[in-house]
Amino acid sequence: MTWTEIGWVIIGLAVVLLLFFNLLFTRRDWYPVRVNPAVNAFVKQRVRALEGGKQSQVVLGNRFWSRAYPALGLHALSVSASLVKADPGAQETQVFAAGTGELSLFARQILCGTYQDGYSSALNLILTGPTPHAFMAGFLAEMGLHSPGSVGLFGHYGPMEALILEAAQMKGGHSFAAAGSISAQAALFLTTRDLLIGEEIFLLPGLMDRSPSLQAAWISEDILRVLMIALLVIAAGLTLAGVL
Amino acid sequence: MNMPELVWGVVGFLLTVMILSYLIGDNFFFRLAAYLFVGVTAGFLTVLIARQILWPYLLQPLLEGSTYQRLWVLIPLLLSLMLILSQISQLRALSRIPLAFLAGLTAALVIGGAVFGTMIPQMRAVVIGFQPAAWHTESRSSWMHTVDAVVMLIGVIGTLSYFHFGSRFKRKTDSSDLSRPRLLQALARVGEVFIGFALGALFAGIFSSALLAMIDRIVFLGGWIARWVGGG
Amino acid sequence: MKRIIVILTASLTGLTILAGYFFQTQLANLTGLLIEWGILLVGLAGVIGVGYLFKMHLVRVAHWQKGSLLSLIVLVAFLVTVGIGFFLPPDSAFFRNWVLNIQIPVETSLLAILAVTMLFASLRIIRTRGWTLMSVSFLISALISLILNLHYLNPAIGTAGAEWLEFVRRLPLAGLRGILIGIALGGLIVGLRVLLGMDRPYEDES
Repeated sequence: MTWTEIGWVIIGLAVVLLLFFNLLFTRRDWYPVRVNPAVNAFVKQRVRALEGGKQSQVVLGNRFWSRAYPALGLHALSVSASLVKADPGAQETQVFAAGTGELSLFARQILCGTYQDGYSSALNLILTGPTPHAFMAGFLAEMGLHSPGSVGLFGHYGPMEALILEAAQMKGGHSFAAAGSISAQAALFLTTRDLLIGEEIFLLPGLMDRSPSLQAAWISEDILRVLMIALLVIAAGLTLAGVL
Repeated sequence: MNMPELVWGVVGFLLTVMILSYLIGDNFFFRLAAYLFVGVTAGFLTVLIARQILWPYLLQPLLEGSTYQRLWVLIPLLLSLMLILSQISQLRALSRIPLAFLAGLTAALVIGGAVFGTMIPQMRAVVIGFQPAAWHTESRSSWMHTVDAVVMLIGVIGTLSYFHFGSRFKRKTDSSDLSRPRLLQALARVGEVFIGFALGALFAGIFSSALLAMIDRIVFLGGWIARWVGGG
Repeated sequence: MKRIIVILTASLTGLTILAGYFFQTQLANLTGLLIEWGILLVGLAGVIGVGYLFKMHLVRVAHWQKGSLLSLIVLVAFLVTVGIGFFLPPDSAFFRNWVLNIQIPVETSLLAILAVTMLFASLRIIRTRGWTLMSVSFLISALISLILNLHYLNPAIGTAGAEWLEFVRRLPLAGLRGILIGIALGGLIVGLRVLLGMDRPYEDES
């Protein structure tokens, strides 16, 4: 079996697991996941900001797709869908910031889907700059005009975005980060207590909106991860024996 | 120094000072430079997209192409029109099809990129260290090679275990529960160390490049100040 | 019915591209065409996104809201750049100078600010994250990597010192590989959820 074939097997298995668990379970809390203090803190501070009439800013990233981290854009959209579902009443104070046109268009679609009537996308969807650096500079400048109560970074970004969270903290807001490139996470590790590292980010939509479908994603990912660990051990053994 | 060089030098000097002024706190000058930068970048991007994407992929085939090319461009033209018209709030629903197309395309690229671009090459790189043939061909001693391969495998397994979502108690979620199933929990402790090592090393790289940028700006500012003070 | 057509558009497009990974030669033309259309839509979305930015600042200026003077700067800078860009030929040195002489100082200065921010943040890492296995190993690794990056330690090739140094250099790779494999696994699930219609970011109806 070649590595490419192994890749297809993994894809096939993921499809089967996702469909199986999606059809099998209908309850909301059937797969217990570990408590994540960072997410709990984010949820708490976000609610506090919204109740206090302060802005809760949701940053969707500065790219929709990248070769190294292809899924982060779609993941950010999944998170934002969960966030608007979790707080449909926060129409005025929840601000979504995107760094690309595609992200803005998708975010507009998600927002319109939730806030059906009387929703004005101009109110809470902003594009602060159309390239990664311009987005960051624009966002920092906007923060000078409107101090946020909480800022959450989701999607694709680089180490420079550590400045956004540092600025939010300086202004008394809460900061939270999920996703970003690994180098972004290395920079954010220093500046942000509430940070999700690596694959932890994929916990997020399900923690905001405990739909059975998102829990099917959790368990599928957990099973695949264990299988991959087993695969690595077996492949190492076979390579050592000269079979692979 | 000629006039354009002088003008651009002064612009660069002022922008550097304005942006660096953020170090003493958020202020009007920082925002001024940031907004100028945003405006210029947005303009540049618009020109770039018009010249490198919209013209060659849509307008040129439509205006100058053969009948066959014009026919093929009808579908993207329709998708583009739907996307543009959907900006009128009454016609918002029109964006569903082009966005669905874009989401489907991206999802497939995500799957292909994740599995064949990242997962498989990284797994291969872990396993390849166990090839006995490779141990004798390089300058490193074979025992060191073995240690390296084993540590790599343990590190990767530990790191993967750290990301396990499920908790140990399967019946009822305990609000204070942070632990994974027992074996994975033990491996995750090892993973924590390796994740720390990885992030620390990356941080060192980022910090070094950021420091170089700072030195570059200081040298730039120093050069200009020296020129003015020295009258050169 | 409408919903099914939309979901089918996403799924069929995705499945065709995915099939292109399997039947590379047979489907190369079709997948190439679909990707070209995708690039075109991304480009168009980029222009619409710039439109959002323009509209946001225009509204601010029109209603004389907070920050309207700065918004005016954005609008003027944008219009001037677009004007120069379309008026001058594509390889114009003036246009290049106009953009680069604003972009480079700003981008490099932002990176310089990051250096200072990270320096101060690293001094309070334990206060931020506490004494955990991860924070301690982060600190140790960062310190060792910074020392190694200075290239003071240069043992002769083939010696035990050189081998250990190489081992230490490669140590962070294990964690990196684990993180990358994990992110790829998560990405696979995210992508499949969109293809299977479980996640529908393109819908404007809940």
